[in-house]
Amino acid sequence: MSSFAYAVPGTKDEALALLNELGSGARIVAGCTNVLPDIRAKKIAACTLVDISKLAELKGIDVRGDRVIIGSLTTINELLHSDLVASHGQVLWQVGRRFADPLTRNRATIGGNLANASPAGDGVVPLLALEAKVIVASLAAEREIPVAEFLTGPGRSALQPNELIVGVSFTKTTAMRSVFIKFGMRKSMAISLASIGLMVGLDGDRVEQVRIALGALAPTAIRARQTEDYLTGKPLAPEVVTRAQEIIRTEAKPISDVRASREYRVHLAGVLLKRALEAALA
Amino acid sequence: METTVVDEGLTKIDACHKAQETTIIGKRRPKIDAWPKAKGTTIYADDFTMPGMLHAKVLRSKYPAAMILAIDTGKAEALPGVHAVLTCKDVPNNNLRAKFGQSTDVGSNFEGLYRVLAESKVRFMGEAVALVAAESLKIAEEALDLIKVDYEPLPGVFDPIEALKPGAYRVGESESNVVSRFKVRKGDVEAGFAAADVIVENTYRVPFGDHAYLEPESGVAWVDEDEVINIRVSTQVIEHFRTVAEVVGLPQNRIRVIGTWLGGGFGGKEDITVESFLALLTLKTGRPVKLTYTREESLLAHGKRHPYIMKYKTGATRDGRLVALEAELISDAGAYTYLTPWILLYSTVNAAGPYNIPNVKVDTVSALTNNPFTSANRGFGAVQPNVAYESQIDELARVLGMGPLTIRQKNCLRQGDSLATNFKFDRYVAVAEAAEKAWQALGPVPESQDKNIRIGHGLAVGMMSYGRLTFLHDSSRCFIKLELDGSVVVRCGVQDLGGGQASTLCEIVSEELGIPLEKIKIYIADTALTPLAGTTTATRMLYMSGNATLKTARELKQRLLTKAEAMLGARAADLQIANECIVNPVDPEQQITLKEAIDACATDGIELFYEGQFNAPFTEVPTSEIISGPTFADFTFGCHAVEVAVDVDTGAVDVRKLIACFDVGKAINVLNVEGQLEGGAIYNMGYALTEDLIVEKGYLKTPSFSEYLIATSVDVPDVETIMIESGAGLGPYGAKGVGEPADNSIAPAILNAICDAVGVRITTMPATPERVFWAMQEQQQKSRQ
Repeated sequence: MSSFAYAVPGTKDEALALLNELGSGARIVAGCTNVLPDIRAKKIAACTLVDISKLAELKGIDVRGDRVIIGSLTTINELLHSDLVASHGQVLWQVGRRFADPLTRNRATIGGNLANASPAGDGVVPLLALEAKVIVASLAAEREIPVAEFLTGPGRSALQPNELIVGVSFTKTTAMRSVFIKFGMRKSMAISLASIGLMVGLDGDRVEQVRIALGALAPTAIRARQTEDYLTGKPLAPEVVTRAQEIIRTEAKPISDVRASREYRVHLAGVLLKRALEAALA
Repeated sequence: METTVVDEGLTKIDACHKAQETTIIGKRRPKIDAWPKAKGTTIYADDFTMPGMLHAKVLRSKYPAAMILAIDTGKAEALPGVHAVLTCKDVPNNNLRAKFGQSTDVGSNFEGLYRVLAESKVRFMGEAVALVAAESLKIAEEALDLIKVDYEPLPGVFDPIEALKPGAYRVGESESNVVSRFKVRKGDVEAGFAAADVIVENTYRVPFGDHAYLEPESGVAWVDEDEVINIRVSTQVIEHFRTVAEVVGLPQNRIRVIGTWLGGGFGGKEDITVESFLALLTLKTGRPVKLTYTREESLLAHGKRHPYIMKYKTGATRDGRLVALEAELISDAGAYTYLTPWILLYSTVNAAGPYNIPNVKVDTVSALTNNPFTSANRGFGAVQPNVAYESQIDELARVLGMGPLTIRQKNCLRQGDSLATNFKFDRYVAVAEAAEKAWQALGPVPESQDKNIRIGHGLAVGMMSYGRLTFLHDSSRCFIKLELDGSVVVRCGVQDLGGGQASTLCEIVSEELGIPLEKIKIYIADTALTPLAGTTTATRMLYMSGNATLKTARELKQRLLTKAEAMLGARAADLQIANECIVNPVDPEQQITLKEAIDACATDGIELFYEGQFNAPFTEVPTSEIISGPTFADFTFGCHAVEVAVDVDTGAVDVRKLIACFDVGKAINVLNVEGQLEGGAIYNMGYALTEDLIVEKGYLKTPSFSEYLIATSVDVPDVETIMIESGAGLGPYGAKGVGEPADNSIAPAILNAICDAVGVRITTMPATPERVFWAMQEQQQKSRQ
């Protein structure tokens, strides 16, 4: 086992100073639900673990104007029990019960789920649908990065070594209907084979606006823009849904791995879209 | 049978009166070990520490097949805090012809090479190459990184069919890749198929399976003040002390194995795990040493359930009578023999299932490969052919337009019938009764409330032996001592895996001697102090040690009654013993307390202890490949019926109802038997649906529980258990063994239910959503053509 140094900054500024000093020699940890297994599997080499779990500035869920701001240390369980999230970011709230298992939900943070940048990360998909922005701080400045730009590859993000995710924000979205569906190999503690986060504004059965985010179907969680464009302005008639399924299957670019083949995942993309649209109409 | 419940408020005489029938046996009560486990106070193997204890780690092969050209341990040995680095050259006897825990001579066909550390030729990825003992786990891990092994990778062979071909890569040094071959021959299959109106042919494939016990392999060893090597270990077989003695080159009486309460075994702790490593390291260092596998190491390095390729051809007449069965079974033994020959023999005997079939031809073979080695796993070679023969009979029913219950009732074995191996059942055979009860309990198929969901029902029956192969000449012993205060000491070398092995013995003693459970102290699993009771494997503990305990308790009971006879002037035959009294139920005035009888025995020098031995029926070791005659003492019969909901868009299968019906003979502790039936069903529900240890070219692709998927609590339906108590078992009070039989037949029941729901026959397990989906696609394409 490699040797690790361990630092517990007391404030955000202390944390940022540490990151600035250590650069890529630092590894930020909070809930540790990914880091500990990675250490055991020797995927993480010797470094300084910077434990940010004590930073009160990174906790809490707020509304400022028309924006909902969620501190990066907010756990999945806290999201699940937040009325603010339930009413203003429903698709994120819907993820809560499908995310890992109760023990993990108590520890895993939304910031950690973003930083991990897994293509299958269940927390990331609804944030994409919400067109959320990741709030990232360094000693020098704070910047906001749209989630779609934040995710750059499997396990890779736009986060710089001297930066810290302090929160995530999105515009209140009460008018749209939200659906999150995850397909895994079992009902709990499952890594998604495919997932979908759908937000749709409907006039009767006509789509006024729609956002579709997909998980585990490409190197990062992605928006299905072509499918969105196709659906916008159309009634959700059976032939429209069928055509949308065909389109989303071309947008999905998943891999084959030990859990499922590429072909099956592509198929799932269509199934999940259909079911999400049906659920939105129901 | 209704039994009397004793109210504690009754007077002593009344209590003695009431206890006419069983007071303990047949009740529902928590096992003696249940509360400590629920409270978290049970001490498991890894919980033990000792002063000055070192920590061990194992260096494992990175390749599935390779020559070891050189091992340089110099840097590791020089690391401060490292006390020993051992390789094969440090093992006094590194290569043994092992009997795998068996004490009788069973001949070379049932032995195999047990190699402690890899020597020249590595046979599987994860094979132990070197051992380290150090002051801390961290130092031991660092030392592993400093051991330099030069490997020359070899091609290897990873498919048993390939391994059987002439000129195939040799897994071992000199021996052939063929581990064993067996046959069954009955009647004339050619003639049988000629007479068949319908013939179904399929090839089934079942995967490697892990035991996935909560507690990984673990132990602590030390050399005591008498220079005895003590090994406290989580094991199903304390009698591996003999093998360990041979490994280290010491007499058997210098190795003491102490078994702990297990956090699960399921066959995975039937073979040696950490014992030899610990003995070598403690002997070398003179310090106590602990070794606990990580979960990943456990998945990588311990034996798996054998994958099988099973080619079946089954024929029936138009009215649904089976007329012929031909089966060819190929099992993947992995890199070393271990228990493969025995398991293949079980499969051979079980291949045709509990059916009357006039013409049967079975050929089985097992081959070495460079895959993980395979050995015991709950069901021990009975579950694999069960998947095949129960799928086959369902397919026949489908073709014939017959119900799944009808075809089974028409063909299943009944009392007086014989297996294809010519084993005759003189006792009650519950197949038909179990099938009917389970199928009825399932009820009608409900309407689906969701357009994407199709609901199906599936039925499968099964048979499995309890007690070991009779040519192993199995025996068990138990010692019981009455203390002067009326309490009892039981010593029995059982290993308790969590299946109630120890508790059941206490319940038998309590019943027979009329002494409450609270006054019974049992010592288990210690080769130095407890009479050897054999392995906790083969669903044998209740049968074997239960009978040994019953025999012993009854001997002591007779001594007490004989003494009471003299004290009371009554005939011993008229006296009963219950609730710590001896009483004549006809004349309640004739009664003494148990303690009075014990005192009198002690005064008169009558021995208040006894050690009894129970012997299973003995048969000869088979000398022919053709298996015929009795190979087991008896079988347990049962059935699973399930309701599944299949998602037609994704292929996902949800088990919604699960009924387990078994002839348990007699439930000693109803709660515990229910637990076994529930646990067994869930254990192999995973085998059917999600558990797949994937090995590609010898490399493990499912290295952790995030890839090897066992069911979670929300994936499991309530299991409805139905017990038939025929009293036909060979165990105490007519009990049969249920531990392993309980996981038989659930997997084909699920496959049959999937077929009922969506019309596709899954022949490769597990039935993952993807497999079910593609099977449905393929079928749709066929139907379009």
